[in-house]
Amino acid sequence: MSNEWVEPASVEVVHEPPSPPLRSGHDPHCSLLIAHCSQQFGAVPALASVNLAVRPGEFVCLVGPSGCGKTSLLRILAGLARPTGGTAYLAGRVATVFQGQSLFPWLTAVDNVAYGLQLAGMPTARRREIAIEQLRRVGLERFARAYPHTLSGGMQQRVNIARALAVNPDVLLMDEPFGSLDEQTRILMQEQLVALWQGSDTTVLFVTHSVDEAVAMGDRVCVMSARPGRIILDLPIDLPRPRTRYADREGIAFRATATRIWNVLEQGLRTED
Amino acid sequence: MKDRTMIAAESTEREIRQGIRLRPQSLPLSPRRERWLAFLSPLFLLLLWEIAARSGLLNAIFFPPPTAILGALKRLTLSGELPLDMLATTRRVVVGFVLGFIPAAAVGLLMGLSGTLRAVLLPITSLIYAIPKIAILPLFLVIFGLGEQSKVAMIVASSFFFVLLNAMAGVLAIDRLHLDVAHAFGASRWQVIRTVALPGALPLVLTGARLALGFSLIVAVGSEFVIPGGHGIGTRIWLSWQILDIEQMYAGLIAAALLGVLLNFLMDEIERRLLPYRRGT
Repeated sequence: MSNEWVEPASVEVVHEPPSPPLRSGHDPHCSLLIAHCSQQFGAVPALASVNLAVRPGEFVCLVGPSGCGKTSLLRILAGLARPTGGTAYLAGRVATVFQGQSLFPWLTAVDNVAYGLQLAGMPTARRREIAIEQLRRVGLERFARAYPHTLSGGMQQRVNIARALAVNPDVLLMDEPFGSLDEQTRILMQEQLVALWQGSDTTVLFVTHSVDEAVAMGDRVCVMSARPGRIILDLPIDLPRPRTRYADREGIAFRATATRIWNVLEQGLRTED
Repeated sequence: MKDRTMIAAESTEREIRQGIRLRPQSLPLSPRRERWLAFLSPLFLLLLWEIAARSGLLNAIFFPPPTAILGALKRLTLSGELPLDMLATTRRVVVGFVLGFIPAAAVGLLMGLSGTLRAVLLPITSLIYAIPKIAILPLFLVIFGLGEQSKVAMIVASSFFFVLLNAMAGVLAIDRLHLDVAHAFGASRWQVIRTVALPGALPLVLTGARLALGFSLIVAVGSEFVIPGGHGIGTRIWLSWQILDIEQMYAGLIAAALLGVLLNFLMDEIERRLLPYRRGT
């Protein structure tokens, strides 16, 4: 595998004045806009003309079968890859939560959280102060000086989220952040993430392969087809919150929504062959 | 008369009892006992050696009794000769190592960062790396003459390639994900190097340094054998051969071992300080 450097910032980023938080209703502004976005790896098409508009403050979940290009799309938005065709616009500051062990093993939890602020040139004392505050929000201020390998998977992922939130992002991109966690931790993390998001005006794009996770958290769930990925369903979730706990998922409305998404997912899978 | 089940029960019980009696032997030794054994067993061997050498069982010309070696060690230390030798060899190793390490770490990291530079330099470096460094000694003698410069140059040459190749491998071994994180947070190229490439490559750079230091000592002693003049552990050992002073030779070997242990300890301490997150892993 080549270890060449990827040219950063391949996405056109439009800086707009921060819009007021909006959970419902109509807003002409988009926090995130993807238009006719396609990507090709050699002869293999990964994304086929993806269109998506996300309002400020919205929580959108993106589900799809593995290998459908969810991660490719997120990498484009995070500025780590260039789309072959089309455009992607992001309004304001973006932060990304990656899947897997993305914390720097050589930094303590507090310095990991302060990383984005360090890059921005903030003095050490000030950025640590903010990082500790973020760790407190995810309930880990006691572990500020711990190194990542001494933390459990769930704790690492909370530090990871704190690191993204520390830069006070307008848009939060999350790539299967809870994928490697056990079921109980996962539900707990979903609950905490929704609580954090409700207390902010951040727009969230959450990539997952779990339909239940998407329905439990999202204002909207977008379903992608198998490769080459495109959005085949864009479904607003009107179920009352909170709906992250296990019992919430047993309701008829929740199950009906999940089943509807599953049916579309299956269709998307079959069109491939 | 006992029935079968009772006999079976009794024999099981016997097995369990034996098991209990046997178990302590298979358990690891207590730390205290282990330390005592580690301390006593070499002493015991030395005692055996002493007896064998004194009784003529061992040829005392090749294997003089430990007390005689200890005497030579004491004499050479008190006269200041052996400390001077150790100091001279240490100086050469440290100077040569530092002179080799600095450019090697820089070039190695750059080779890890730039595919072009790697393509240009890797074939040449791999080729030179493959040469046993001691084979270059005659060439250095021609270039630098029969003196101090050649000794140091040998150490520079042997350190350089270990550090270079490990520094390069260190950068290449960095997790892609960590580079992505830096880019996603908007790091500039220089920031990526400073906040991810350098700390990420550091463990392997230090591994290279440890190897380089070890080989530096070997090469230093080897060069001191061949190049006359000045102090040095190699010079001391070679001289002992020429005048057939075996006890002094053993004293030199002990000094060399001591130096090796010291350098290793130094690297442990450096790693402990520079890689605090590796502690207890």
